[in-house]
Amino acid sequence: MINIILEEKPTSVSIKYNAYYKLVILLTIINYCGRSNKASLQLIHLIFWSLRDDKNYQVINDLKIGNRNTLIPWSFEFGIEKVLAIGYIEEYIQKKIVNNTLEIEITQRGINVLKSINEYKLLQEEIEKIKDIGKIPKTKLDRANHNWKLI
Amino acid sequence: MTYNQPEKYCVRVKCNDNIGSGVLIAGETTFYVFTAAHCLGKEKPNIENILIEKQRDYKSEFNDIKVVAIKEWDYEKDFALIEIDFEGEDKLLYQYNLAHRFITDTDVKFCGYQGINNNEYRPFPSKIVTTSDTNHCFKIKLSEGETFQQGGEDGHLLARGLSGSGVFIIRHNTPFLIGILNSVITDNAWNNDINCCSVDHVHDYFDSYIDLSDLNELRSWTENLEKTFTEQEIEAFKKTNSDFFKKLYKKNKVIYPNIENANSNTTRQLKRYLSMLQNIRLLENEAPHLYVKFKEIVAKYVNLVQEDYTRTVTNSNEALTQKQSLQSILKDELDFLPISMDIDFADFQIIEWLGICTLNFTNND
Repeated sequence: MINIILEEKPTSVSIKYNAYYKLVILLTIINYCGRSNKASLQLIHLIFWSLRDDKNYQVINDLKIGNRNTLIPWSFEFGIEKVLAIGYIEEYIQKKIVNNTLEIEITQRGINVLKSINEYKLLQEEIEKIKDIGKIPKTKLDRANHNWKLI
Repeated sequence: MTYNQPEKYCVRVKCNDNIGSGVLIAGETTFYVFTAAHCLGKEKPNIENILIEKQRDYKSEFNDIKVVAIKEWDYEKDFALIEIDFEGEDKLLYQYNLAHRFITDTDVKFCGYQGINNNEYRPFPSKIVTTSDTNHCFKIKLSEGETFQQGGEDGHLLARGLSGSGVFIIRHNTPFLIGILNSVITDNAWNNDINCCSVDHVHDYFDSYIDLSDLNELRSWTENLEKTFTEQEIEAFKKTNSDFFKKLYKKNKVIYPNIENANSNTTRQLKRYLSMLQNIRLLENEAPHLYVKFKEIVAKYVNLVQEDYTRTVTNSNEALTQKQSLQSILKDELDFLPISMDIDFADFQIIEWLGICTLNFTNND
């Protein structure tokens, strides 16, 4: 006789799917990559994309240091609207219109969150990676994204 | 020390200023060296003039081997069989077999003492070009990248000394002696071809010839090869001490009572799982929304059907059928996933469930 048992087992889910993890990454991106505490949605999506794997990161890093001036096809971060919503509710971020485009600004509350994250030395690997990329001028990004041609 | 390679059976043969190579063969009661007749001179020599030496590796010292008698000598067909007194390493010689009837294009290896550097042996990879069963001879060609035409020298000068080298086919880690080297074509060694004579010439002295062209033989080699390979892989997986492997293997041993089936299924599943895992990481990266949906459906599905599939069956066949039916229904649930990814997501998920014990098979006897 053979017993067959099928039962649900808890499985580990990558922290990448945790909304609060994403929120911290979002705040870090605005803080280190944006200009005067503000970042466009395009920049936010792009940096999130670069953190997905080393190959993507290399592309952004090369763009930043001038080894390349175009981008490979990149994609939007999944579920970012929910993360932004939490951010607005908790008042870590707020919307700002700059030159007719929407930008996200980090508030003092948001900066305080980042401070305490750093105090406890949490998520340092990701934070360091974002710090390393640093500020990417908007014009550079626009130019890199302008190289698409429809065929 | 080289492990069961043609190098191990290679000897240097010297006789009246002639120098060549030879190969050791174990007979029923005694040992022989098989070589080309021209390595010993144009006339049948006296045994006192023959010097046979062997190295343990290509840099080591030469040890003399005592010559007892010349058993066969044929200058025309260019082979000689010399009986020797060879004691210490008799075990060594039983590690290879003799073979006749082989197929062209098979890779072979020979090893001998090239005249330009005759203090060190060198193995040469080559390929069988064509064979003649009636004349007991065959032709081989050096493998790509190997040539006798170097530095403007005549090919025959570079090939000199290699005559008498044993030609081996290697199957299933075992060398099979098929013949010895005789000559190259004209002074230029055209095409890097080498004429060889087959061990069939000395058929009377040895009885254990294997027919390497026999298809059944070939098939059984492949099967054996696969079996040993699977066993080695299972051992390797066991050594990794992976919890996933242990759980998967335990269940396969229940579903497949025959241990060979359990072994081969486990290694195949693990390899499939690992290669699919790569692609699924890709999906997670490129299309996270699909990945999340995949995981959601899987979780919902297991919750929905866990009671339907939890049961006791009488034998392993029923267990297998049950597993297959679970997999095929899951496959239908997952048909929204892109076909272009070429992953059987249901297969992947079932293996994962086995590895983390969501799906469990246990013997109840």
